[in-house]
Amino acid sequence: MTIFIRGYIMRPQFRFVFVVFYFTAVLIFAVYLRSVNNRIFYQLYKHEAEQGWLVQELTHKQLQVESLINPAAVSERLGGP
Amino acid sequence: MYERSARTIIIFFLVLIVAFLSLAGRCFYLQHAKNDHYIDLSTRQQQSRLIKQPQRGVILDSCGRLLAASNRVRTIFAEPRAIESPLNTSVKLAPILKMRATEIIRIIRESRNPGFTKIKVDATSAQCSAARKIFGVGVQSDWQRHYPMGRLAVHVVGFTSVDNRGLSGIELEYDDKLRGSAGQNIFLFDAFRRPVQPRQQKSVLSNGVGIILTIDSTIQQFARAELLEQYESYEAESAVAIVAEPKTGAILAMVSLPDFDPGDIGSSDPNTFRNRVVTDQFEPGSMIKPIIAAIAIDSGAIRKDERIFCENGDYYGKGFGRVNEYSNHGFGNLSVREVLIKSSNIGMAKIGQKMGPKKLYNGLKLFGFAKTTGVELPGEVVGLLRPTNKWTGYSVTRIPYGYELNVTAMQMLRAFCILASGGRSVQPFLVKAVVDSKGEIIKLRHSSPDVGYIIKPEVAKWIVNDCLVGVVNERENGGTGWRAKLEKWQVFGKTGTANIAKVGERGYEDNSNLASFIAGAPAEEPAVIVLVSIRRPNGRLGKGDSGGAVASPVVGRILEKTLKYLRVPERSL
Repeated sequence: MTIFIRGYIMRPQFRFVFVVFYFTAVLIFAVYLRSVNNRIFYQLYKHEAEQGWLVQELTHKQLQVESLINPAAVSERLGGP
Repeated sequence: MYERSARTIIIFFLVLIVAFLSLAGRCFYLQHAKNDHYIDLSTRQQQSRLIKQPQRGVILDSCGRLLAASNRVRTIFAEPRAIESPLNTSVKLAPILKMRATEIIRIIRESRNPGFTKIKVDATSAQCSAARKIFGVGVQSDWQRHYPMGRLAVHVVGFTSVDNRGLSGIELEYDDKLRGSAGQNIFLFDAFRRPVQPRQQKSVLSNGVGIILTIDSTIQQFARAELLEQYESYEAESAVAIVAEPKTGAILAMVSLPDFDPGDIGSSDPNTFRNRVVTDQFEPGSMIKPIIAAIAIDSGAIRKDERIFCENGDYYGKGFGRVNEYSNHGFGNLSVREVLIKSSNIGMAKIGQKMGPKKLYNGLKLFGFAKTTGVELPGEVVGLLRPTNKWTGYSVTRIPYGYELNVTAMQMLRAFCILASGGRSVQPFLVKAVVDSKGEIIKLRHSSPDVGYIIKPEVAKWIVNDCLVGVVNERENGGTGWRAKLEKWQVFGKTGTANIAKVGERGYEDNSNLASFIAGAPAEEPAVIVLVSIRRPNGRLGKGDSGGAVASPVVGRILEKTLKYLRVPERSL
């Protein structure tokens, strides 16, 4: 069996090296893709959690505002019960 | 020599074969017999379950103001048993948390729990990420329930336990809806225990729904402020106030005193937890008279223009004992209208006798007594109205002026809403709508349709516009509710001063009253009904202890503020 690359016929002694090289490269690439996938998933998860915390901080501020502007608090500041 | 070498080689190969066979056997054993065990072990090492607790739903007032909401709080904690040197840990933690190192040492050393002690609640994200790096220190995130309005509507809203379960009020009644359901996901973790791949979704996170109440916190504040002032100035035992829209039955405000701080449940008196509006039953006294008169006229037992001889204040007969007037008044012939304005007990006793037990009992049942109102609050009691076969001769003469039956404040309010809405059946309610976490309406409460009349509209209108308006506006004619009179709106109402029955023995307590007043306005088109009931006001203060003296001024002030706030058109003078 002969392998053609850019019109040249590959010499038989390099065929084995070529196949092993490509096989290894594909394996390394697959592992790389897998780790990238894991990393991106983790980043996404982390950002989602951070977004959740920001929403919580916003809610916290809203609660603080509500406790200042509700009718009972306003009345108390004006000297009522 | 050659034979010896050959034997050695054979033995060597035999040993090698045995070794390989043993290894193959071991492999076979691990692969087949112990397969599940090792798969389980590796799964445990690589995978982990993450449980997301749902956010408890919000409770809002009718204007969208927050009454209760949950928020995540990060707590920085230490594990005392894991800390070798509290001094070193505290020195590292102190600048991060802006606390004194001595204080942190004290917290760690004095902790009763060797596995967990809180160092700082509500820490910022920067503090958490810095503190997390210190050995023996961790960050815990929990949902915490907040009540921005504090005590204002505490008996309606209720409160939750530390594990976020509703324990009273709307929090308890709608606990299953407010709570939501936890999400559970299984992830593949890397060597640093970071989730890197989702494996399985066991359950979907669903946050709790939001509840929108009919309560308006501004009206709630009017009612609470006025009631609290009177409750304190009369050194009363307890007090309740309810404000409602008679046409729909929507509760605009509900106050029960004494109350408690929902943010500090631990140090509150458990006796203050109950919402007396629905849990406490009492003999209503004269407040029930307009209801009885309406039933009597509607059933044909008496006519509107009928005159009743009130025995000059002393009515005695075999089988029903002696009936007297409040404050030893003595009245002669009174019309039904005058019986209500002057609040004659004898007049009402005679109306009861004319009605007879059956009409009296059926009428009260139709007005909703002796059954729950169905308002969305836990612990509502039914009250007490004994069946007619258990009535004595006293019953038909005592029930018409508010004894021998127990009612709740909510039942009284519903009965007056029926009168004020022209005799139409009214269902009081507190929950206006249920919304999902995105604000979409899931369930919307519509007001009751105009069906199911309890009494004829003309009878209800006559009682409200002729009789009850007189109670407030005819002071010279003996009207007991004159303190609730308003300049800009025509008020109608009825006072009630009921004795309090002794506990565990017959008879009534001396100098202990339940002072009540229920009123509405404007009489032509009632927009608001207010009930105030104050238990055991201190009569020795010399300010009076009747419903007219104690409760009616409060009702008047609540009515005035509420009508102004709701922009109810003033009457043209």
